[in-house]
Amino acid sequence: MSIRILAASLLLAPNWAATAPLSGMDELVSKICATPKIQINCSSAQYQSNKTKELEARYNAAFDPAKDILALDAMNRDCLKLVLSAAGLEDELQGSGLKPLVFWAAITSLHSRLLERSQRTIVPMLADLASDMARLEAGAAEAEAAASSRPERIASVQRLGAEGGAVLDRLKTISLAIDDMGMPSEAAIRALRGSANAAAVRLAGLRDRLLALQRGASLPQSCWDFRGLIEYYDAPESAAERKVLGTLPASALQGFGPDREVPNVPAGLAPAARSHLDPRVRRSGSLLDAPLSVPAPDAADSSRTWQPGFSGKLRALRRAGLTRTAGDPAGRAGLVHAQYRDSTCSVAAQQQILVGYGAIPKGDPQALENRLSAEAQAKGFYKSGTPPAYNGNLLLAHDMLITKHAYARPEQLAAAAKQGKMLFVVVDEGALLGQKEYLGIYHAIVITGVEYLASGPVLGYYVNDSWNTGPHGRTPAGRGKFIPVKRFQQAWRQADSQFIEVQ
Amino acid sequence: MRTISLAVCAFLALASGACHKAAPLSAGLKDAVRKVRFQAPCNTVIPQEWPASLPVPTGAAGGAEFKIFFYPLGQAGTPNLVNAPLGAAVFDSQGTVASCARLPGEKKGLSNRRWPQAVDKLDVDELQQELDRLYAATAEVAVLYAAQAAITDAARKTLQDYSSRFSSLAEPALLPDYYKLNPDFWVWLERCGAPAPIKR
Repeated sequence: MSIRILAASLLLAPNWAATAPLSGMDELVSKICATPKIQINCSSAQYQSNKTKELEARYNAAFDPAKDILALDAMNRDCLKLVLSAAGLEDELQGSGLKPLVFWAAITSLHSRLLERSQRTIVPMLADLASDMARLEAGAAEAEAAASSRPERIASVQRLGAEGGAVLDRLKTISLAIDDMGMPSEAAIRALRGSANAAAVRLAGLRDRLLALQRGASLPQSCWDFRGLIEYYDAPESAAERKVLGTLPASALQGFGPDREVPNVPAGLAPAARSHLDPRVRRSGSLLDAPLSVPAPDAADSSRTWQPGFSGKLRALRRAGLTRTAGDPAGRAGLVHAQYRDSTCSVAAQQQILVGYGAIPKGDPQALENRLSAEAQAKGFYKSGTPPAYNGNLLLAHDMLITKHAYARPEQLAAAAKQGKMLFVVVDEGALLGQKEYLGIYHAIVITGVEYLASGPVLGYYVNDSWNTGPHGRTPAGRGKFIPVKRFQQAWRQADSQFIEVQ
Repeated sequence: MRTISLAVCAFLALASGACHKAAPLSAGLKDAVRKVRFQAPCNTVIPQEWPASLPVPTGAAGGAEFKIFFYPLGQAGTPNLVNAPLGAAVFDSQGTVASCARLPGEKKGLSNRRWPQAVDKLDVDELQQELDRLYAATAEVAVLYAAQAAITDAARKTLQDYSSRFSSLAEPALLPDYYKLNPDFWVWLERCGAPAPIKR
């Protein structure tokens, strides 16, 4: 077994691993095939050897820089499959006297080089994105300042929206590539995700400005100042990420962070290579069509009537006007249905957000769940359930601008919820429901509102939970159900504090 | 194999500082299990809805390496709550995944009962506390198993305590799968005087 620890250490030692030989594989395969007692492994070993060599050859082939990200992303996924089959092969070979180390060395070496190269590719892509967004923002500012006629302004907004759509497509491609890179806890990948999140926030800000222009009423400057929203990426905890980013050329980070300056360049995008976009997401027509994170209606009415599960103390606080509700737990309760399969919670949660924000029309919940599950499966986001890396990708595939957070802090979640948004979160369902049968199930639910004291502290979250609790019928575990903050945070922390926010 | 690998690992530690250091075991094993499915490649192949099993020591890396499996659970109203494992992972006490794979086969229902009867009288918080104690005991036992040294009376008591806790908390329908994770471990446990919670 310690061979696996060695394999893991190879992943962490790219310099050494890069020199790992491929040549020993043929010899090992010959030995495996010549050993009668483990004859059964011969074809697996040959498969592993051939596929590893094929992937190595693809890696060594000349890349078209414009296509790099798609080629790398596909290789990352193929490499992952080989890592898995190498694991199975090593299990089979245990005790045979043959050392499968050579398979591990070859595939983990390739894996670490792929990750490095992906990182090197994505960083300048993000920089290009930032540069293009700066141009579009400059264009929007020009349109806002110009005393142009309404048709001229509309034409200008539509042009900027179309160019923004191209930027959104590239952002979606980058986001999917980051998912396929692997560990969200690793500093380098967290840094990339942080930058992609910041780009999504910024692009959403641009969309909102363009929509405001289209409606003929420019928003005040403060409304499109996104800097406050991304402050937490600069928090002290992200020192490790900054260290990684610090090793990259300054140009790679241009455009992110509070000291951004809009370069004085002519408006217009660098030609976006639309043919090099990830086929798993559809092409956006215009940034203006990217579904909005619809603000909740004024919660005043909802907060007077919506008091599910309130304790007497909380009810008293509410009556005294000491608590506030953000979001729309009552209005959004109708979005949830009891999921039809054991492992479609992520799909069902995204379905609520897609319908709630108008990205797809409301319809029969089962038909929608089936359709979205099939779509997720076809795109590799669903594999008898949703692997954590692919949470939220249905939203992305439907043009939503999202930010993904793992190992987030409670105050980040609270800040997002207080904006009244629907939030996709993952919790330990047993801990959330207080039912030991379901302990350890990491389950996707939707926060539809938050109850907090006027002085700021969160008292609890309202959730839509699609887990079916009806033994003989179909009853979702939560329709705007109030969960006290302590229990919610315990269940959320046990599932590694993930949430996804629509911008 | 173990000697060679450890030697190479030691070389790597000198050369690149990349090998894992021995970690404090008892505090982190539960966290490590929790982290596993969020690490590559688990985070792209194991559905988040499948709970992880209890960890079983592999005997490698000085007791810092463990194996788990993942199994689908059904919702209320489904004929079977517990299904046969469909994924497995090897990881260390820091939660670093060394391997993670889907197991062959289709979803297969096993039982409507998840926990042993001993758990019936516990609420969720009490069950979590009991599981915490079992994780701590597992970490201690893993070190003893890796050392393969003569067992003292105190160590035997530790093994017996582990065995008893495991029996009262492990999913009954999955005991054969626990055995398969590392048959040698269960044989060793019995040889050392602890009642084996699982027999071949």
